[in-house]
Amino acid sequence: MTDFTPEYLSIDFLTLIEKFKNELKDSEVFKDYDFEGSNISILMELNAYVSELNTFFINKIAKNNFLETADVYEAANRLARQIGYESKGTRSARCTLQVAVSGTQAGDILRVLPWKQLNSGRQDPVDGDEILFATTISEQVTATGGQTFIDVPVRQGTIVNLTGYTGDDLIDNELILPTEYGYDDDLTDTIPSIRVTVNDTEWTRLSDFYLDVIPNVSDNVYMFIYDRYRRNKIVFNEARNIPTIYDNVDIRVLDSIGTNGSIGADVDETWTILSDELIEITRGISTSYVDNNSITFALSAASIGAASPETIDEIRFNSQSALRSQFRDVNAIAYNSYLSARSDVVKANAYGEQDLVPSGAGDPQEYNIVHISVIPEEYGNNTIVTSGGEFTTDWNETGTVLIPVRYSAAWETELLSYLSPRKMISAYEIMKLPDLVYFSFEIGVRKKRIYEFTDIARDVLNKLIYYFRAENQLFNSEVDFNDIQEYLIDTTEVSPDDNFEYIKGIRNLNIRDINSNKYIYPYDANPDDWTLFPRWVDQPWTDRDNTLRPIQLGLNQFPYLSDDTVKIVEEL
Amino acid sequence: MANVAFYSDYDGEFIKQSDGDVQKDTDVSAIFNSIKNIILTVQGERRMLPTFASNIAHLLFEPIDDISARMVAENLIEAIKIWENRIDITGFDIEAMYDDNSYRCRLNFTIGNSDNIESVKFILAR
Repeated sequence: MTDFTPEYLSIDFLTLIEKFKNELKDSEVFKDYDFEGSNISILMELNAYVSELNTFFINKIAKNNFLETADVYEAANRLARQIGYESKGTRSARCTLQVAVSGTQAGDILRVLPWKQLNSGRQDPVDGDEILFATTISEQVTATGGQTFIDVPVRQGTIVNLTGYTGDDLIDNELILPTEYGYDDDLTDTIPSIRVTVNDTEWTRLSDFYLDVIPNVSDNVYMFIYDRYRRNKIVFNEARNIPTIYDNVDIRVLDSIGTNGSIGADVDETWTILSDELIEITRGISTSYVDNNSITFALSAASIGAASPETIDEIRFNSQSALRSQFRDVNAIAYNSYLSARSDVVKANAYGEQDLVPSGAGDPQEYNIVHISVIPEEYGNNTIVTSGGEFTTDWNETGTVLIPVRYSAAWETELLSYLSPRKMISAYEIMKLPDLVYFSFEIGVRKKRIYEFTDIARDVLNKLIYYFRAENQLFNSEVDFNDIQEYLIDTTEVSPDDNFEYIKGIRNLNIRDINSNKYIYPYDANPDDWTLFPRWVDQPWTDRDNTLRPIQLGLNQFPYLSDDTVKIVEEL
Repeated sequence: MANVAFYSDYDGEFIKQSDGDVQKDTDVSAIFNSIKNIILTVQGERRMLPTFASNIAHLLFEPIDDISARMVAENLIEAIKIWENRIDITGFDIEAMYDDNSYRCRLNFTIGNSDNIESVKFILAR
């Protein structure tokens, strides 16, 4: 990768003035360069101003010729396309609803209609609006009688009909859609999020006009693109068919709220149907609609795939990752980023032979095996089943801890299916349970005179809880009391919803002791034995050395805080 | 021995010399250039130097009287003292010209250690 980082500040206005002055110092012609009122200083400023403008724009152009340094969205988008990466716009959350229809008879044909609006009953965390989902494809089953279940894939979004276009509205074979909607432009998913009809005939969406020349697909094709100006547009191509000025073009899209549309699993049946009819029933030769009151919903797995439009940094990272990995999970970062894109996964780690046997001796039994551990958004029967345990500290505080027991079979299958399109051919993926390592702290605080200790203690505990939130931690990390101590007393470290304002009342804070629910192995444990974790990172100075040394966690170990055993005492 | 100028600047009018080059203003002329720029510049006009010059522009739109004249004079003297440290001001006369809506000014100064009093006259009008 290039280390070229253009920087125009070395030739800015004031630097140029200094350079002019240095030049004139050696000349006898104009000596008044140092007097602000002189004509020569005005001329110098004029030159410097023009030069600075020039260098700024030249620099801007130079920077935006490289993906590493691009700072204009248009340039980043274009450069990413050059390496085969399509920058993504808004993507909707998607999930599979378990729809139950009561009162059916054996042999009834039930067909879930496409493009029907459903209300999930959940609220957008930002503006409190209801989160709406929609069916976009038709699902058909034959009833066995009584209650019939249908798995229906749905996408988040409000159905928007854009009508009244003709071929006359095309400019350069493109139809730019109104910018007021956050269109779901996910092409990688099999569930469509857009429907384009020309004279009531549905056309086919392609990812590329030239690569997707499939014999069975007619030339009635289009592309749906999130372009470099952050607009969504429908693109037709002269090599295929283009609507004429007499053709009516109707478009149906989903107005998505991106990441805010993610929802968790539920069995509360909060879903309601916003359309008059959702399911068509054919009994014998007659076809009618199922009464909406006969339909109930359940969502056994959280939605996945929601995302807001990519930022420049994300385009940079994702396009380079895609190029290097060729859309495969090739390392722990790829696994973590791909799994974390799911709304039901907070953190993930992947490791293999090189991590398990770091000395290079190798282990034939680990060839090609990828061990994957994940931290779910919520533990339970739908994700990771846990049992309760107890943990008592040296200072006699007892708290409860979660012990992962097993993955839910359905969730494990779903995760492995989710990973399979990006699996390396030779890789054999195994889900490993996360090993939760609980920590507790004994903390001494000296407070400033005007503050109450209880306020400070509450904020110290809240800050510690925030520090150990799963979103802020990593598998296989090093837990260092120095870092934690510095973080706790740093008043600029705040969470999005708490400023921890009483932290500023701390005069001194000392972590007196650290306890864990796991045995911490000594520093000189066999480095090749990955089971001997957590482990002290440093050699103790003496046998009586205190325990405040960094602790290294194992590959599937994840740090948690045992918050009900933390002891915060006031020191005088 | 040639007379070497102590101060030298190019002429703001870009008057051409006989050799085709821009005429050079030296010593007193160079200082006159500087004073002229200080008087004619409005504060905030110069890039990266917003405090340069005086703040008399808005005073010229005030009613002409002795108080305004005094404020104009004080502002100008202050600006010249700050931005033209090659001279010592020995006197500043200002006269309100009620009929012309302007001020007639005369600035007397000496340059460096010289005892010669130089004088520059100008009229301030909106």
